[in-house]
Amino acid sequence: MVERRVEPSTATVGLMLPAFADVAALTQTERAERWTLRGPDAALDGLCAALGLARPQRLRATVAGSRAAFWLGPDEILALAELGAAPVDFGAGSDGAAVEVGDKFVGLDLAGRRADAVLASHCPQNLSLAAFPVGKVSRTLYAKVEIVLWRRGASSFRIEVVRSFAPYLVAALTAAAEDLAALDRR
Amino acid sequence: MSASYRISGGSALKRERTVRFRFDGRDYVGHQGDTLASALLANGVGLFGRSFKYHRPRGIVSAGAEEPNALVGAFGPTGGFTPNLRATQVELFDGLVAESQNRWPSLDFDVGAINNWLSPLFMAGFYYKTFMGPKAAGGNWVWRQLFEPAIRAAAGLGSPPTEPDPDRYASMFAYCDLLVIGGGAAGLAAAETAANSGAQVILCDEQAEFGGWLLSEAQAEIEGRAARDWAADVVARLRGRDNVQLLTRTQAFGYFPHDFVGLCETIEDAARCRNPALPRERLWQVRAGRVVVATGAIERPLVFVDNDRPGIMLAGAAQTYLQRWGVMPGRRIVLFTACDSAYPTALALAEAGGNVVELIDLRSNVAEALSAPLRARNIAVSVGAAVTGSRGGLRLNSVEIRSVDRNGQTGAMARQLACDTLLMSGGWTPSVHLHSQARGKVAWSEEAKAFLPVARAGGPISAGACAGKFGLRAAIRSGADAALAALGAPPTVDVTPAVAEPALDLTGMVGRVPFAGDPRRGKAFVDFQNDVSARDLLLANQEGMVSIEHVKRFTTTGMATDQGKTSNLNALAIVASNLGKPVPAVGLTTFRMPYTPVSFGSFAGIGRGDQFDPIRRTPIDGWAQAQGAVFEDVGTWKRARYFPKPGEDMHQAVARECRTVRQSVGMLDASTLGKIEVVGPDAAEFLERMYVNSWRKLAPGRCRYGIMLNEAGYVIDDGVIARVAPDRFHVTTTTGGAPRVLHMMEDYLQTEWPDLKVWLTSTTEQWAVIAVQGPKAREVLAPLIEGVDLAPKALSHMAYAEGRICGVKMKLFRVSFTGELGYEVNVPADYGRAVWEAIWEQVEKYGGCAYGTESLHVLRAEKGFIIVGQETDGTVTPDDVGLSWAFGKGKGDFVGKRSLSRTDLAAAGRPQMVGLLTDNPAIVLEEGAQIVAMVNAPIGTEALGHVTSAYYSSNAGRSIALALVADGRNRLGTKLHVPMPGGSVSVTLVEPVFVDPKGERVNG
Amino acid sequence: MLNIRCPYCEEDRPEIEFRNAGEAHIARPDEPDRVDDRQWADFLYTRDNPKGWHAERWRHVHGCGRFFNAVRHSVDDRILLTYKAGEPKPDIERMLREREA
Repeated sequence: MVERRVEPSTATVGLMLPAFADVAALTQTERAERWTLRGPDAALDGLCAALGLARPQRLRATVAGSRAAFWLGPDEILALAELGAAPVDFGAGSDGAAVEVGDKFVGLDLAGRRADAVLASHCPQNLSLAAFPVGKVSRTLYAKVEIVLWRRGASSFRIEVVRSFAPYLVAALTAAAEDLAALDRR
Repeated sequence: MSASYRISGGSALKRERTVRFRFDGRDYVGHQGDTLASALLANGVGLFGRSFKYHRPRGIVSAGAEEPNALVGAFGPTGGFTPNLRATQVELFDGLVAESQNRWPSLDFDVGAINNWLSPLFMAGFYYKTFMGPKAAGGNWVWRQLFEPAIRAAAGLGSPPTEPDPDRYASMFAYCDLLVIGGGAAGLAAAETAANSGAQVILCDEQAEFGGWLLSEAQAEIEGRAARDWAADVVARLRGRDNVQLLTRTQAFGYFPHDFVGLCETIEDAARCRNPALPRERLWQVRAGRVVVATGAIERPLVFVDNDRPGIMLAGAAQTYLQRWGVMPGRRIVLFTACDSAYPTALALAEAGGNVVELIDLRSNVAEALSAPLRARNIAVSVGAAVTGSRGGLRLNSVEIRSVDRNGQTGAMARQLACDTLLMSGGWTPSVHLHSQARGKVAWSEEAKAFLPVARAGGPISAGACAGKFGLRAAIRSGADAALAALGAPPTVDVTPAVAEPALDLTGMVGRVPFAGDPRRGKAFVDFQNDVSARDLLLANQEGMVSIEHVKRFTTTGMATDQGKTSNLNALAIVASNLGKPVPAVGLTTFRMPYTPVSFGSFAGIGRGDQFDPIRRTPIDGWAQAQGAVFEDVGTWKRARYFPKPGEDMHQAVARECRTVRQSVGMLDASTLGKIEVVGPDAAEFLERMYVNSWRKLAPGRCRYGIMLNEAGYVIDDGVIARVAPDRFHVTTTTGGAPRVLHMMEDYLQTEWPDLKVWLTSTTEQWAVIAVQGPKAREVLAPLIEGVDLAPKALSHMAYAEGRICGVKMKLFRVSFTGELGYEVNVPADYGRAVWEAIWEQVEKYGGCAYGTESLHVLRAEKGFIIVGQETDGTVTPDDVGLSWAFGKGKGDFVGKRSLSRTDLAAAGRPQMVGLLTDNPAIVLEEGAQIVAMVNAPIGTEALGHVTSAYYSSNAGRSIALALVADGRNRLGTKLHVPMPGGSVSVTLVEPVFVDPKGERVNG
Repeated sequence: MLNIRCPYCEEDRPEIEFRNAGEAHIARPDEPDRVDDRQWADFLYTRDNPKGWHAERWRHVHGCGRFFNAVRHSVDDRILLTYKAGEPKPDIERMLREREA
């Protein structure tokens, strides 16, 4: 029996999360389980079902309770679940793949009056509600890093970013929010 | 100081707000709303700088972005210095400090003006002829050493800032149905028409307020009101709509493919004084459904001898200074025109109290309706006459006037007319720059004496003066029509507002004004900023340049920072005349972005300092920082390079780390290793095709060192691959190669072998990787691990197992990049630091150490293990670096296999990896040094190869090196030489392994 | 920056999300061992460099991750169409004629 036990540390990401009262607030989400699910539709159906989720359609998310599945590509889904639930059994021998990536990503919530403009400062996609409606998910870029962007509300977004890029991303979001705060008050 | 040229009026001014500023060390007062140009003109400052080549005194020519002369350097509200700003675009703020450029020691007395008297030296092509080596340079020492540096120093524009830019630069991506560029009559009409249809509209204008020429207009009325009031009404209506984004001070500088337009928004300096947190500029990257270009027209100067004296200005600019900034340009004003627009200007100036003496019109036939109102105000109107010269020092004194007959011949008699101000108008050139940047074609219109945009289906639509639609009614109408056409709406009934305006012919003339005498005498400037005169163009033509592109480069006309906005058409017409060709036969040079200079800061945005690129740190990075590790950049990663103890330099630290690893144990943060999980029933088959090795028979729980080639047969990546399960592999790649390898794997899977059932996932950042290497590695880890039997027989070299460490889920690889007993512990990244610290406690008990990438490199070199990118350079085959043993026996096809049988890759004598031992064991070779067969080989001796890695090895007690040497394996034992600046270093070729040649320690 | 329609996302996306991957429709020989050096060299290195319409590969690398093909004009950057990997090369001339008509 090994005596030494250790605890996880999300502080290793080293994020600073300032809030910009009237522009947008940025918060780091709780640690979570994540899986990259890959395969043809039939396999993805099964892998999503193992999480109690429906397979998401193109550029959309499905949500059940605190679990969610994001369509990233025709054969790729990023699934999230809260920690501590019963281990997920994806079954063996399917034509698809489920790979643990819980610690690969850091989750950020960005919400507030100007959340869309903070994102549009460095994200090259059209983030208008018409082009990027509530419920849409897309992998894209923010300045020089890749992100997964999920619109949860008109002014509320979830961002998933690979952990080593998170400090850069937070700094870039911060700069954009600071600039907007100053420009809006002109 | 009193603002002696300031009169009443000036729609842009807030008279109640005075602003103090400094120019060339003198203090002045202006008003809020002034530009530096308007405020200095109001203060009677007419001298703004010295010209580029001849250092001739120059004043303001224009009132806008086209200004060629008045370039200044200015300190912004946060202290940042920017050179080469156009004074016409610098807005005044309290405390502005600006300076003129290109003069020493002062603007009034400039030593460089000697260039003007030396001007025969500086004619077109001067630089090409003078600075071409080696004949001129080598043949004339005095010239090269003395004159050339002095001339180079005297020429040029402003000085770059010496301090880092203190300002922030914001950024925004925007999408819209319609982007309208230019907020004059046409642009406002286009924006409002589109907005009324419900479209998402962005309207931008380079000026501080919308209105364009409407703000300068003196006579015309729209719906019974002053033109500028109509503009204000439209803007107010647009401001009230949520489908319109209005951007003032915003220059559309570049038009890129697929209607992607770059806008640079300048934040008002006065606002930045109040709030220094404001960015200086914001770069807008706009993807527009359609674009309406309504960029207006630029007035042309008239080309006559000495047309560049301070006090000579474009007529439209004078009207603008009068209307918008309440500035009277001079005390005694003469106008010289080739078109109608100077007449209302003369009237407006006279009505405002100006002393307008005479208007000279090049044309013989001028409508009485134009001239009568002038004569009624005692302004003489001379038709069929030209200004053929000017006099003055730092300011114009008088102009020389001659008659011009219908054939363009000047009269013999000249008269002098005293004046301090000459307002000129050669006609108006449509601004087709953005249309042209959008790869739109232009066509010469003889009627308009202009190149006009040719519409292209789906392309930008030009409206207003830039489309040759002069006159306010025509501009408004064409703006509205352009918006409807852009949005695919049917044309509506004419809703154009009622416009009362004089009918003006703005065509004017292009080329050189008729002159008397020798065309090579005197300087009639065409391009003011680059000091190119009509005779330079003539010289270029005489020297055989006939293509306008050649003339442009030979004379540099149109190549200054203003890109010839005021000069291109005149230059073209003069060349056409010299060559006896019509203008369109000479052709137009290409318009390039940016329309006006854009700051580097705008393009860099947040991408500077720590945000230049992502700085990636591992989960264990904080521990290494706390230990005082020295880091190095590996791609975008920061990796601990070595862990110096107090007093140690790198060599001492690395020597200690390397000894410690081989004597007891060391630990390395290997988290940056690329990791790809390859899953699926065809996973083994896929790896068979991607790597040179065999994978089908690799048992789950075993690892293998894999080598990846490109199709050309060269090594591009390597790494240990573990079979986790029959259908699941854990692939590792080099740190820098991870994204490239994944990209290449996806490429083959998606496009060559889509039938394979294999799925790839990058897990690089899911796992923190802790390498524990050295004879004590097993003892270190054993107390922490559950579920894995570490006994050598249970977990032998190249075995893989899953279990727990400190209670955390773990993937354990028994692998070694040091040649010692070694493990690589993989735990989820969030646990990386805690597990590292737990292992560290154990390592300390055994006197072990943490080691960095430098020791990693030495330790692997001691064993002759390659690093891809160091021993390989993209031209190295597996056999070249001694890895033939890795090939799967009897394998089928794999990437790169076919190339290995190409003649040159199979030939004898290829470079092969060997070890090098220097005769003097203390000498560490330089990586990259060449290897030759003879001592002190002369320059030009063919090299046999080069050093790829060289270190001092504390374990070998001497220097070691790896090298690629032609036919190296057949040369083992022989001596070769490494030529270095201090003399040749003799080396002996040996097997590339310096420690434990039998490879027994790894099984410990 | 080009505006590229991803045939998998079925959306126009900014070029910066994509990576160009060279000329399209160059198939790797099924049995490389059976082609001679000349043919293999052609496969490795010989590429068209047309002035005009050109079928090329792109990957939506910062989007859905898929490789696909685009017919782009090498002079003015117009994109005639994009289509999924594995679909046959379209008859560009015919498409242009139909577009004209």
